Amino acid sequence: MTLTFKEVSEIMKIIDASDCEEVLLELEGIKLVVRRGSSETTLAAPLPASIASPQIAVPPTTAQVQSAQQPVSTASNDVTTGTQIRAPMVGSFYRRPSPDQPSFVEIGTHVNVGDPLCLIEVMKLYTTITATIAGTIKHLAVEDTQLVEFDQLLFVIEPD
Amino acid sequence: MSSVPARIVEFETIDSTNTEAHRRAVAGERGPLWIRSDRQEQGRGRSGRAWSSPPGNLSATHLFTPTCERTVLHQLSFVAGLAAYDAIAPHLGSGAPLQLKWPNDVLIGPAKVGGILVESANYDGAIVVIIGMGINIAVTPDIEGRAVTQIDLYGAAPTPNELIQVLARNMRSWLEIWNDGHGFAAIRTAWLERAHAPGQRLTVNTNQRYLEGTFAGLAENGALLLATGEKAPIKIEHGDVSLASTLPLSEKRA
Repeated sequence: MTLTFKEVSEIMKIIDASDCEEVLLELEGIKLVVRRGSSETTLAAPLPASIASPQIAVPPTTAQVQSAQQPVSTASNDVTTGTQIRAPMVGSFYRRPSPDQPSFVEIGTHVNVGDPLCLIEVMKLYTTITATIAGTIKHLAVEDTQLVEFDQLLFVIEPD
Repeated sequence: MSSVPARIVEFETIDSTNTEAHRRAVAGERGPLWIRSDRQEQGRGRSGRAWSSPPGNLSATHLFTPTCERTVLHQLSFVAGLAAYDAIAPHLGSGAPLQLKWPNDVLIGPAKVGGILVESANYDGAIVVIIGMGINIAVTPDIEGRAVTQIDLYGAAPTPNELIQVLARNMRSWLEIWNDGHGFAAIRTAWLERAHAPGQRLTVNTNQRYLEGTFAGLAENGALLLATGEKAPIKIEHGDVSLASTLPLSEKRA
């Protein structure tokens, strides 16, 4: 299922006119999170390419669509096989240890248990997410520096 | 939360006390442990930024293993800020404008006197927390684009060894109050008492956008509340926060 830009705008207008502080809307294949007074509104994939990562201001909530998460690269579109690595917390996702260094892993990188895959930062706490199984990175689900939600898919590892 | 006093190990020179903590965690160290070095050759701050660590300043890292949920680990940014603030405060003369800036920078006036890097990682199923602290005691490092200062410009300077003893006691006390997240309300209150005043003009640079506004306190989860003129403050959970100039925002934009 997909949502059009107009449909997203209509949903946010309805929410804006309500007294809700936070709304979580889950449809088939879509999760929309809106927090009043927060800088974050998150749309989870899939979305049409035309609204893949826009900034949509809907005053007065100041809500913005900030992270329409689509697979950034993949060796296979099948993410149901393999070991899924998911976000243990909400935060900013970093594929690199610092901006001037290469990514921890790429598609095809072989990892061992405990190898670092990425960082998630929230309120200046940097958590290293490590491989829980030895194998090969099969799927990268999130763009560098994007916001991730709790339990959001980050990587898929094809076990050895 | 364990109330066992932490061990302290000291080096003359090391690459990075945080890196050493990670090495020890890989080898099975679970703390509580402090690692201090007179000099760091590859000290690092947030986002991989280099952190200058000349002799005379404090470069130290605390390693421990909390038993809390991972979803409250970010609260340790505030705990560490309180411990550092309380370690520095007794050495400053009266009137020195020591203050905390979200979430854990320690400033004297607008200038940074202490920086903190909080990290966590899963080592063999244990969530290990590694908190690096750099406090400028006798030397002001040159940090491009940042106002920086040192303790001994404002009062009697402790030695790094004296300062870490106090810091370790403070951290232990604040961790007991934090109580694996159950006492965060008290941490939040104490942090606000030591922070710059409400209404302080701030700029926030997230990965997505640049914001200007005024400090409106902390949300219950510790998020920065930034008043921007909208009907509700914006909750900031990530990004670089700076004290803005005293110019009104309209003049600054012009």
